[in-house]
Amino acid sequence: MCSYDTTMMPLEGSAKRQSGWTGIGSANIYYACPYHSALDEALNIDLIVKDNPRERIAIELSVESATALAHAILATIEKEKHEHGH
Amino acid sequence: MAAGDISASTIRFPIGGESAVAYLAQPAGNEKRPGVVVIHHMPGWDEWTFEVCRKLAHNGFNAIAPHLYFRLGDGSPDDMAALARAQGGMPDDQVVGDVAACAKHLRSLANAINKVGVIGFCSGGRHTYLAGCRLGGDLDALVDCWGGNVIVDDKSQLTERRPVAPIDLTASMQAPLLGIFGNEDPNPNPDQVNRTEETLKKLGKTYEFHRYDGAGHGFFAHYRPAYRSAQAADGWAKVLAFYRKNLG
Repeated sequence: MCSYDTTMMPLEGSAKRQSGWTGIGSANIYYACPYHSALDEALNIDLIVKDNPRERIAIELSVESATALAHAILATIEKEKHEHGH
Repeated sequence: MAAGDISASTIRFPIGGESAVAYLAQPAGNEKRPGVVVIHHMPGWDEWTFEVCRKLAHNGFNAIAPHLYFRLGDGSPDDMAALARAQGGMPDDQVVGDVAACAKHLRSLANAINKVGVIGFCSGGRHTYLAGCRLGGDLDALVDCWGGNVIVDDKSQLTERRPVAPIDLTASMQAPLLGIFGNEDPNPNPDQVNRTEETLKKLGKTYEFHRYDGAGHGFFAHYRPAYRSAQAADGWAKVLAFYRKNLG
């Protein structure tokens, strides 16, 4: 909290917001007070729109949820690699 | 007009040739009032910030909250906060300039007396401490609510935008300082609060610190689990008493 520490990373893919699909070019990830979630602190992910870096698709997760999500993503990828060799 | 009546709205006024955005709340009527600059926390210029302005106005103070991210363009406050974060936050020099401009604007109001205080929360608490040091006699009372990074133990946290730890400027602080802290807060942690107090004491500054057991960071925030009603009520009472004593 009270920190501007932010992990910035490039991403390739798309995300959908209310107005439709858009390309995603990067993500900013940080642990800080959330804006919307009723949490004291959250793992925040801003998916930055590729063609408009001012626009983001924002996610605020509890630390437990973020950790579980990260594990689930990795597990899903590992399973796919194991079963289909990707 | 009834006691506690206020007016509140978003205003624009010039800062350095730019059209700055701020939220202004004022008690109703013609009685002359002191002013308070309200510095928002890192999540941005949000509803909580406006509530603080209205609370201060309800209690007899003109209160102005500058939108520290207004230069980043139009957009929702949370998106502006995300843009500010991506840029590494606002430069200290710019924030201090915005606080100075708001203090000047408060003094220009038709119902103003010359006294102006500042209050800030979280990163705004740090900004309050910093502004108190940098603006010296322009400010009359400072309230730092759990401002982190006043002491910077990890020097790698000093950046071009925040090149100096506010604690190192303490000698320049002129206005009295009120500090409100939770003893379970990791930033500032109790040791950092103690060291800040030691510095203030050593330099002969006028201050009062209040530390609350059972409270962590941001315990005034009624919309979060961190809210502690008894500690928050006591803290607000101390803030208002401090302003009444020092701003008149």
